Amino acid sequence: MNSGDAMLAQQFDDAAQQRDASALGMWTFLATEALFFGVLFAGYTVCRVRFPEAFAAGSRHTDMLLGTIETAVLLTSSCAVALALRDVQLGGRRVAAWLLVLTAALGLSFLVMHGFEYFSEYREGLIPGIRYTQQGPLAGPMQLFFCLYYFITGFHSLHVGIGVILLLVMARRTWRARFSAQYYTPLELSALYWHLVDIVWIFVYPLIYLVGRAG
Amino acid sequence: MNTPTTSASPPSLRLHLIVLAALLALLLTSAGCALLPLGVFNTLSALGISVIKTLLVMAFFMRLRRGPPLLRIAAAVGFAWLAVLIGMTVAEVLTRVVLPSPW
Repeated sequence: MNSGDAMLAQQFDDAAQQRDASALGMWTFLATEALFFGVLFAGYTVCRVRFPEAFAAGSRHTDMLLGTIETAVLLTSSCAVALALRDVQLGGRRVAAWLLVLTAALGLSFLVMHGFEYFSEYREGLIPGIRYTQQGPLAGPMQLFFCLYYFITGFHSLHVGIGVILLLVMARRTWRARFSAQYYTPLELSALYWHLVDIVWIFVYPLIYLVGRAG
Repeated sequence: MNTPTTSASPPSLRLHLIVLAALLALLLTSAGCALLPLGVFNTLSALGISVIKTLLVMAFFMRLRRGPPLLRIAAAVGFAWLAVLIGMTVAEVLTRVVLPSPW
């Protein structure tokens, strides 16, 4: 089961062709994911152009320190999964499996931190439609910021959750020597997915947490 | 399609750690810039740093730097469509003229 040829599907000439086809399919999927989040970012842009002060005020209600820590956690996890893939390519197994577990743990810690953020926003009354207690002239348009905030971060957290499960499955398979220096396509594709989750957050961070901080 | 997806020898541990350090430094830079009163450059610097971080992740962690051209095109096309989506939406919103009601 370890060699690339043993895993070769009949429609491919060789393992390299199969791996390239898989990677191309994954990149196409990632493009649809970028567009999925792109729609939310486009909506954000339109609303922010219309209500700049409300978006700055909304952003100041978010926890910038926690957002920065979450970004650092995701960036580090991206490096960890890239190192896990590298280790498998060099014939490793145990270190790669532990690096994948570390990546999943970092993803899980991101979700926990975000859960704390949601909870503190609930206590502050910042959830439109459920518990929204803000007053003043900006309170109305600020609801738009928070609706977009929950949609963008909610869908992103869903992706992080799926990624954590995927990484744990890959860690288990790596530990059981299902991958080798010749065959590691599922691990490579899972890593690409995790990097995309990281990239989405790289843009969420300035748009949600860093608006209007200097004022 | 016959070019291997990844080069025979994967990038070094040192390169991975250098890229991670650069990403974390850029993160702190964007947080620092956000606290300075730069006007419109607050948004521009934040987004510019995000683009640089994304290019670093794509080039080194996702290994597009040495990836086959087809994959690089597929990746670029995804972001090109995204640029069209956001660019045309913003162009419409920013050039919209609010007409007064005739009655």
